[in-house]
Amino acid sequence: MLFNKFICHVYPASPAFLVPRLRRLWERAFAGCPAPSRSHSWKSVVGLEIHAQINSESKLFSSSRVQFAAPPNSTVSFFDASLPGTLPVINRRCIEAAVMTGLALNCAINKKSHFDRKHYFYADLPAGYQITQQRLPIAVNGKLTYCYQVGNKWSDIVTKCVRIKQVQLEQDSGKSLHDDTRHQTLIDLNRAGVGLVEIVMEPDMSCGEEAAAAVRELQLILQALGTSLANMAEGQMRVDANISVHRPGQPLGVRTEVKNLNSARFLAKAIDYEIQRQIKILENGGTILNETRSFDYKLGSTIAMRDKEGKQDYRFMPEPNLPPLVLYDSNSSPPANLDPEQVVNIDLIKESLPELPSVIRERLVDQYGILPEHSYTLVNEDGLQDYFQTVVKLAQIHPKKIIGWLIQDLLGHLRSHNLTVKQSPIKATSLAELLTLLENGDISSSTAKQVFQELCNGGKETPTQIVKEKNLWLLKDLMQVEEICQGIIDGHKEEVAAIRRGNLKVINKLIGLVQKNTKGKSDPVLVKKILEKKIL
Amino acid sequence: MLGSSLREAAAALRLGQVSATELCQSCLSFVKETSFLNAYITVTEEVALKQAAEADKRFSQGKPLGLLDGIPFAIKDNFSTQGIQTTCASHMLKGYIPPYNATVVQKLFNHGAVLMGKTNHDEFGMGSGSTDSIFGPVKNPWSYSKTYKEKRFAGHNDADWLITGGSSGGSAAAVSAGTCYVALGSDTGGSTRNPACHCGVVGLKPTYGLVSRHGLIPLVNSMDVPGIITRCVDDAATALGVLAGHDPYDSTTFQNPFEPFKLPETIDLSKLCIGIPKEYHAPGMSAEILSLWTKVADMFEDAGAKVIAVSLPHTPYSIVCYHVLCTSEVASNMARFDGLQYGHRSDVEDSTEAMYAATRREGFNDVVRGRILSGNFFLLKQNYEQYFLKAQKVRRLIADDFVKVFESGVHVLLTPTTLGDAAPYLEFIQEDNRTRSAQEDVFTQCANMAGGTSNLKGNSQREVEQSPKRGLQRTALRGQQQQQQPPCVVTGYEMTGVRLSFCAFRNLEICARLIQKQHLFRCATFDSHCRHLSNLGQQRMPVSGRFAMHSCPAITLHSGSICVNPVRFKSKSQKKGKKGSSQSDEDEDEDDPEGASDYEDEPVEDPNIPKDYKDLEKAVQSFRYDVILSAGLDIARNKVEEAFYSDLLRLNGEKLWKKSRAVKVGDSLDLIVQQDKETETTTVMRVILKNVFEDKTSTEKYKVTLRRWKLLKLAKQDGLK
Repeated sequence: MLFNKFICHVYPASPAFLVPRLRRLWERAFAGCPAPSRSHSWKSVVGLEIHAQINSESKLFSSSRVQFAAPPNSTVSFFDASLPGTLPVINRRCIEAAVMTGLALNCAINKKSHFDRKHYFYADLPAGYQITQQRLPIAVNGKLTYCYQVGNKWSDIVTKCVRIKQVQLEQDSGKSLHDDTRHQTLIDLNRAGVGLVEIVMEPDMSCGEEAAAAVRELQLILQALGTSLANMAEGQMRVDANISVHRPGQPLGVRTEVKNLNSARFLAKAIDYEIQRQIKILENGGTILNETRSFDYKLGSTIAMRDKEGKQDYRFMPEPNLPPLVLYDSNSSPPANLDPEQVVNIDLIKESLPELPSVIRERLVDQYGILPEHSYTLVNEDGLQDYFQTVVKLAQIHPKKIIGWLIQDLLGHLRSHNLTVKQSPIKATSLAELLTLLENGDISSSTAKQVFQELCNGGKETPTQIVKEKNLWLLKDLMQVEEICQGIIDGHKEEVAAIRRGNLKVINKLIGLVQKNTKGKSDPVLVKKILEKKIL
Repeated sequence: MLGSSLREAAAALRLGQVSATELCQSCLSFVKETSFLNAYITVTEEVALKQAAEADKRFSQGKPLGLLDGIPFAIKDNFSTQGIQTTCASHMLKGYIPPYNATVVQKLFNHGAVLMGKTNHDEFGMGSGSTDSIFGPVKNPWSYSKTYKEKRFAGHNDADWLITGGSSGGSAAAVSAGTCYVALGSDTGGSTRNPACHCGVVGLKPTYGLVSRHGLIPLVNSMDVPGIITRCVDDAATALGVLAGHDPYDSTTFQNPFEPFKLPETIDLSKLCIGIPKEYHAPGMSAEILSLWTKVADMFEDAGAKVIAVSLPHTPYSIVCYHVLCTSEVASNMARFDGLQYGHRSDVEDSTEAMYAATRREGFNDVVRGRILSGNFFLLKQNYEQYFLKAQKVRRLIADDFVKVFESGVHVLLTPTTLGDAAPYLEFIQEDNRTRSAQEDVFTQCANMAGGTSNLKGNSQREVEQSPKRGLQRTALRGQQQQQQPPCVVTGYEMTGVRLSFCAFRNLEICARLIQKQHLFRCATFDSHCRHLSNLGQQRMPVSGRFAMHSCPAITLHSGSICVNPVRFKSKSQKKGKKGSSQSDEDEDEDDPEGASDYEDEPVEDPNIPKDYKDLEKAVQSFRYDVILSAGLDIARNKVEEAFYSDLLRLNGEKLWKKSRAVKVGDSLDLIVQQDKETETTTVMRVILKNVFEDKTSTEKYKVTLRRWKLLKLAKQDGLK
């Protein structure tokens, strides 16, 4: 596999950054994904359809609760179970969430949109159709800008843009649980009718890495908006990818759809596998079937799904039980007799939009003077930005100094233990305390690392307590340090001689020995000064 | 009491003349007495008695809930009722017990109304005769009126009863028979108005969006409206006052608050402009309907209203578009019946798909399956634009037609409801459901097509149909049940037959007035023969009532002058009606050119049984029995096949063993309709091949003469092995 190199670090510790004035440079420097084949003669095209569950109290068309991991069939209303005679009543919160999403993705919001029925028989779709927005969705023609790293170096970063075809509201389906031993299928309708925002992207991407980065950026946006929790592992965000390859200058190839990708990493893997698979088939003279495939993460490959009775005709039809969804803005005031509860005002929503990730990044760079690439890490890593800001506030030291600790020490530890920032054993307050001790010269930097490790290992005490307990205070008694230095000099005649011959580097070894002797409590700068004075 | 109007019953309850429980019990016993009508699928005796007892408690405390408190009502079996089986007259939902009440049901309950039961109808409301229900067809109560029976069969034959129209035939029959005061139907293409018309009661289709559909098991969401069936117009207004209004569970209901209204006592017709849409002068309309239509228009004019001809140019396309839109939504709405969550589930378990297929094949009848198939065809990607989208565009034009007419100053449209009278069952079923629906809905579905579009902003449209055969109903039934010979009074009532629909799209005030115009029918109530007798003159007028009496007595017509019989009695019957039962048989087929002449070579066993035949000249493609049979009986090919498989065909009295056999002149072909084991007689429909003409027609068909016997009663030994 060609792209393993890139896939392995979808979100490397030091990811991309994005600052307007530098964008052009990067864009000039990098053409994007490497060509998908050694022969450089194939072009791959990737489009995404992303379903994000709306973070709302109740479902899209009914008042039953939306709750993750509720007991099976415990949050099902008569409408969700499609009892005959029940009718949909749209949830205002879901409309607002879709409008927010559309605005955040720079879409044009349709002041009038329609709902359609999409028909297919499946056990977890009790009505026999899904209510969606096919013909006239709530938002269209947007774009999403995202960045990703193409190499190992900090600066190997590409900024790309994908067009958003449409944003639409639709119902989620229930879940089928297959009991193979008893040959049964059990249906859980808790999820049936939960509001989804479907975001359809144009096929502007060309590899898994791009797709994964775009999805990550979208995820951040949705989380910032609060419209969706967008946790892929919990199924709150699901991605289907359409993939095809063709020779440059020729029409697009037949595409396949890879469904139900539940992590960004698998998304990238699945897309890249699928591109290679298609190229291989075509180079061997075969043809690509228009089919739906699933990704087997154990095998790392895509597998054709058992085709549900060939090509589906969804027999779209306007949903007759819902009048057109009409939105208003400051220019179009609603009719006077309309209940204000029934009015959704686009401009009001626009004003109340929270800060979006790209804006946050720029603000972090401006406010704290950190490097743009660091802002990227802070924003992309869930919760790290808050953590950072807390530490900055409490520690009163230059943010740049904090960044190193966060990205290298903290994130390194969390990654190696597979933890999220929220699960971090070191709270922001502890780290702030530790860094303050360091900044004030109360402990040495090596002591700080030592305490940090201690905290990582689940130490319950505060950094100050640990320092006190183990007496790790920086040795400030000059006499005592000189004494120790003298002891080391006396014990290492050869090294001293070497230094005196002019090999100054050897002094570092002596410093190390002093540190060892003092268990890291001495200030290396001071020790060096003393040693130089004594030897030279 | 059972024959009175809702308002009268409500007044009696308030005065303590009758208790709600008594009223309920008498209705229940009458439901049992008339059970042969097959109007009810489920009779909810327990619920009714409990509700009546509660109503009585409220009356005794002096705190009745409203006009409907304690009033017995019935609902079509496609409205969800909590804890009470709701079948849609289909195997698919047999045994389905909804866990919630439809909004309209809940509203009636909240007003203290007493539920008698769930009424029969065509499966899922698809039909116009109430003949396609798994519980069997509904019989029109008027079939059992003394006069009708006397006219038709000298009181002996039970086979040729009349259909109620449909699909809400059970509701119309229930009200018409006097087993309840108000019944709810649903109206998609005329399903409330059509049976109301055929059963002689008032049928009201409210404007789409005025009454909530929540809990109504849908046929066509964009056209369905809960309909109201009552015995008089005042009652319909009362019921509408309770049912109408915004429902948070139905996003398509009007948000504007609805004020219940009472019909004014008098009305000034001179400010009213009545439109007569010329396109409703459709082919196939019976002469009596046409003359009545004209007559009523004249009456309006005489009473001072402005009557003008208007044009709704797109009307002819309406029924076709209705078919496309209806089947498409049906296909979609029926998708939920997969047997997984509720309703029928097949035993087939080979795969989920096989289970779906078997469940739906077993659960739905041919009509439903046929509509699902064609609906899915229209919705296919390659057909959508060509059919569905086009039909929608035409629908818009139809709605615009109405808007234009009403904007031109017309307040009301005056149209017929159906092309003709209620047909006898045996005649009705000779065409398939689709053909019948197309014929029966031709005038009614336009209002559904137009009413479904939202551009009739906040205006109210409602239709009132009436066929003032009422009054007779109760007495006739009583007469039959008690073996009394009611005096010739009955004949007096049977005469009318105004089957006209009023559509009013304008404001409520005008609607109220419109309904008022038919206020007269309140007079035509059920209480006593005497009253009917004394008021005879007034009651017969389709347009009169108090208003007419006061302001223009000139239009008070003599009963004879607008006499049109409600059922199959063509012009002659009027005269006969007055003479009571003295005349008998040979009047049936006026269009029989030869009249009653040559019987001699017919195998008639009993000279006393009614003769009912017709000579037909037909072109047939061969002399196979099935071709001759279907030509003679005008029944569809598949019906012949069906009859063959159910052993109902006889060739020269012998059972047929082959699906097709050649026949010769003189052969008789029988389709067995009924076998009576006690009397050892068999009723058949017989076709005799009388003559074959030498020369073929241009289309390579043989011209033949067939003698068609509609009904022939034969003794068992007569070779029907």
